[in-house]
Amino acid sequence: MRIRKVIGRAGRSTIFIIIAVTTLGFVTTYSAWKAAVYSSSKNLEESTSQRVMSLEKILDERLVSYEGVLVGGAGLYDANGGKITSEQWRLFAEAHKFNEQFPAIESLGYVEKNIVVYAEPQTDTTAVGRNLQTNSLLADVLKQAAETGQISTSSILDLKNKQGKALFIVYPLYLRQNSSQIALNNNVSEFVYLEININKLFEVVQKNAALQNMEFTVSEGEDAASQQYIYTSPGFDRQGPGIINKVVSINEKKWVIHAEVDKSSISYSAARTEPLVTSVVGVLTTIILAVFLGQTLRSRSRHINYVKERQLNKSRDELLSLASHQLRTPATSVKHYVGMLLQGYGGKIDKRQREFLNRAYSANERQLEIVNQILHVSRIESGRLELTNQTVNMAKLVKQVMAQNKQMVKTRQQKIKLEIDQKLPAVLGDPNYLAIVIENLLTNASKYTAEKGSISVMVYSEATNLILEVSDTGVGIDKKDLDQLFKKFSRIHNELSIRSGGSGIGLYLSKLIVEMHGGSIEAISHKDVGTTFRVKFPLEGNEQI
Amino acid sequence: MNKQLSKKKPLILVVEDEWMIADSCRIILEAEGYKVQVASEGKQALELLKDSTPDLILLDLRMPVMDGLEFLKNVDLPNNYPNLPVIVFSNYDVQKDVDEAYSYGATRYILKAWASPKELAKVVKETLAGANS
Repeated sequence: MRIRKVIGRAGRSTIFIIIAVTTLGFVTTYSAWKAAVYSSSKNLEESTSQRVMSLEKILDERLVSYEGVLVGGAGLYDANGGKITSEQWRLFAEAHKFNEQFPAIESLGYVEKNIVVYAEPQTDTTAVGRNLQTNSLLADVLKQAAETGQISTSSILDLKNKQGKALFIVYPLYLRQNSSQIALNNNVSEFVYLEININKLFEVVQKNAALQNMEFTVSEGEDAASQQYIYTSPGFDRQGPGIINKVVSINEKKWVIHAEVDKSSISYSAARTEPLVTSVVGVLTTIILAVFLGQTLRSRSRHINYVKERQLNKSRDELLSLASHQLRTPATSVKHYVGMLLQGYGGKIDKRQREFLNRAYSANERQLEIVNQILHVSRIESGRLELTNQTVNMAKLVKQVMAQNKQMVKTRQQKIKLEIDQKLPAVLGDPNYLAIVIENLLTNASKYTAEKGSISVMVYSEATNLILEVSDTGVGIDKKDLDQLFKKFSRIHNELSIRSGGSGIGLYLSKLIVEMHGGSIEAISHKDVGTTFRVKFPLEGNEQI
Repeated sequence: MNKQLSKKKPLILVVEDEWMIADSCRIILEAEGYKVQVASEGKQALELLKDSTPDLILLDLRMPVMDGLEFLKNVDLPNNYPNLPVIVFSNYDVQKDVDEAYSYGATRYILKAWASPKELAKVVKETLAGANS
C-alpha cells in the first residue's frame, strides 16, 4: 500500500525514467563485471604462464646438469676402453653424489654392440636389463642419437620395476678410431644412457623457490586436452579453480604443463574480489543513483505542483477579492435607496412599508457583512493581511464595540452585563481586527439567545494572558458540534440559526484573527444552558511571535 | 473666505462612475442643503473644476478614463487647492490605495458600503466643518 502511494505520487514518467536509469545501471554494472572477470582472469593467466615458463627454464637447467653427469659417465666409459664394472659405476655414482645432487637418476649405464642390445641399470646392482628388441621407444632414441650424433632424449616410458615414468637421455659414443668424426652410420653402436625418474625429477624441480605452491600436471605431447599425465604434483586438484595449459619444449620434446592457477597469488584473489567488488559497487551506485534521481524528480514535481497550487490559490484569491469588492457596489445602491426610503425621501411610509424596508435594509447589511468576512478570510489565508499592531486598551475597545452593537441587543430585549477588571494590562494588537472578533462574539451571543435572555461579557487578566469571556444563556452547542465550530462554513442547525442567518465564517474568521495575535479561542457549552466563548490574548510584552 | 458667513449653499463635487450611486449621493446631499455637481470620472471632474471650485469633493477611486488617484495627482491639491477637503469614497479597502490617496492630500477615506444615507450626510457635514475651522 505504501509502495502504491509512493508510486502514485511519483507519476508515470518518473517511474519510467527510474526504471530506465536502473536498467542502464545494471547493464553497465554487468558489463563492468564481465570486463573485470575477463581482465582479472587474463592477469591470472599471465602470472600462471610466467610460472610455467619458470618451470620450463628450471627443468631445462636441471636436465642440462644431468646431461653433464651423462657426459662424465661417457668419459669414464671411454677412458676404460668401453668396459666398466659395476663397482666402477658405483664409485662414479658416489663421487658425483647421485643421491644428493642428482636424485632423479634411476639408472646409469651403457648400451653396446648394435642397437639391438640391451640397457643395463647400474646404480642398482641387480642387473635387470631392458630388452631393446621389445622396447621401441628406446630403440628410437638410440637410433636418433646414432643418426644425429647428439645427446638425445627419449619419449616417456614406464619405469622397469616400479610405478612411474622415465625418460632416457642417451649419449652416443664412437669407436675410438672415429672419435673425431661425426658418424651418421652404423659406426655408432655404443651409448651411455641416463634413466631419469620423472617423478623424482619434478620433485627436485618443485623444490625451487620460484615454483612455491605450484600445482601442476604434465602430459606428453602437445595436446592440451590430454589427461595422460606423466607427472602429477602432490597437491594438484583437478576440480581446482582454473588450469592453464601451456606447451613447453624440453630437449625438443613437447610436453604440456597443466598448471593450476596460483591460489596464493594476488591475481587469484583479485580475480575473485575484483569482479565482486565491481558488481557490488555497480549495483550500489545504480541503486543510489536511482534513489537520488527518484527523490530529485519527486521533489521537482512536488515543487512544480506546489508552484501550480500557489498560482491557483493566488488567482482564486484575486478572483475572490475582485468579486467581493464588486459585490459591494450594487449592495451600496440598495443600502442608499432603502435607507432613503426609510428616511422618507420617497414620501411618507406606513408601518408595514417600514417593516418591509427594515427587513430589506437588514438583509443588505448582512450581505455586506458577509462580503467583509470573505475579504478578511481571503486576505488572512493568502497571507496578505498585515496587522497594524498597537497598544490596545481592551476595556475601552470592548465598551466601544458594545456601544456600536447595542441596537441588536435592544431589539431582542436582552440583558447584557459587563464586568471588566479594574487594572487591566494592555494587549498588543490591531484594534480594528480585535473589534471584529468582539463584535462577532457579541452578535453570536445575541443571535443564539432567546429574546429577553441575558448575555455577560467579562474581561480580566490571568497570569500572562488577558481573557475575554462572552457568555450567553442561549440554546447551547451539542458536544459533537463543538469540534466543527471554528471551521469554515460550519453552521449548526437549530431553531435560532434558521431565523438569524449567518455566513458560517464568522467564528472561523475570529479564530484566525485571535491566532494571528498569538492567542487562542475556545467554546464551552451545554445544550439549552448556554455557551461561553473564552478568548485568551497574550499580554503586551508576552507575545510569542 | 468664510463660507459660513456667505450663506451660500456649499458645492459638493461627486465624482462617481456608477450612476445609481452618484444619483443617490446627489439626492441625499441635496436634501441636506448642498449643491451637487456630478462627474462620472476624473477627466470630467477636472473640466468641472476649471469652471468652479467646490467646497468638498466626494471622490470614487475606480473609474474608467481617469481614475481617482490619477485625478488627485492631476489636481495637485496641496498647491492648487490647499483648503479643499476630499473624501475618498471607495468600495476597495486596499491599504496601498489608502496610503496613496492620503499622500496626494485626501482628507478622509470611507468605505462606500459602510455609509448609510445618514452616515454619509454626517461625514460630509463633519468634514466641511473641519475644513472651515
